[in-house]
Amino acid sequence: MFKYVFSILLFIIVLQPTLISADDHEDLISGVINAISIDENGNVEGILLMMNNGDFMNIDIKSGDNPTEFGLENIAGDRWVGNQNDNGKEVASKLEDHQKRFAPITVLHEKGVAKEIVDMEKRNVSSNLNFLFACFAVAWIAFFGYLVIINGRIKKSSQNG
Amino acid sequence: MVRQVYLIATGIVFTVSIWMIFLWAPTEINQGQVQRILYLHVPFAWASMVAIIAIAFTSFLFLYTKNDRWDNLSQSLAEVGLVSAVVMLFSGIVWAKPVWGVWWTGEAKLTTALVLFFIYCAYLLFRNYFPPGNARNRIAAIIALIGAIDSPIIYYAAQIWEQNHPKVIVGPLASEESNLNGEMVITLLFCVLTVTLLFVGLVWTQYQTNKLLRSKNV
Repeated sequence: MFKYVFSILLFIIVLQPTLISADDHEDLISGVINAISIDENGNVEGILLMMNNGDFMNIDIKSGDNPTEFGLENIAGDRWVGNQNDNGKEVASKLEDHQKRFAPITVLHEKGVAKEIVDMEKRNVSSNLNFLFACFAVAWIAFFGYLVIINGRIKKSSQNG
Repeated sequence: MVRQVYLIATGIVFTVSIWMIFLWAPTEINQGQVQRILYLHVPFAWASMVAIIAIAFTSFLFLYTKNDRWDNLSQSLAEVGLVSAVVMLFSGIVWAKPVWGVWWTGEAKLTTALVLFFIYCAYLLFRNYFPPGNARNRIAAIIALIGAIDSPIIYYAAQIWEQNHPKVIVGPLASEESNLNGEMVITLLFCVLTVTLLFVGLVWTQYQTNKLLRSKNV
């Protein structure tokens, strides 16, 4: 029985590399704003972001359906949350403020189209992987450890039978 | 046959949920990768909270009918519930450190969850160390009935005492301000389904094992 289950699991795991691309649809980047493109109505069309490694990237800002969401703080630490549908000029003003202050931002984007723009996370979020690993490792050790305990009980009852 | 189909279905669902957690669900912008602990923490919290309610229900049926199979089911649920509570607590502690900066706070949600763990411990310790018999089973059933009061308190704790722990994101009290996007919610619900299937499978196996052990007085 377990041979079949194991074979199915192995088959799915072997297929994983072809499915990894599913995670490529969104990406996180951080950097400072180098230039802002604003249309005649005062709405931001896009920004040129200088990333941590010195490379530049054009980021498009969306309005209308599924607009780019912003969460930006001013120098006093007051946070403004909104999008271009709420107030296009406020978005331009906040981004210009960040550009002047060289305040770093973090952008969640999909193929260069921003979904969310927030102040850069001060912590290195990727360094938390050890916490993630520890959590899942202990969870599955507890879970499968319990299976071993049950198995031991079944064996014990079989021996006594 | 049913057992084999169940096992295969659970294995497939489990594998798909792992794929969804690590490859399909997007990365949360503020917490980064560590936010994926959510997909472990919430389903096991759900399992441990539902388990104590189920134990209270089966304990009530045992007290009412005096049928030993309800007592056996209570014991099986408690053992699996304890494993779920351990995973819930550990995942919460590990998640709190990078996000809140501390391993533990004394706030209501966390304290009541810890109380749930102690209720499971008390229930199982009592069963193991009290002389077997009807008196033990009846007192254990009463402990479970009292212990079940903790479950709704845990669920409502974040709503009543607004502290660090986020408000409920699944269920009737789910906050509309939840910042989980569609893919995250689907992944979370799928993980709840996976843990529920694992939970039911484990309880069933434990129930059969206990039944065997009881029949042989091991």
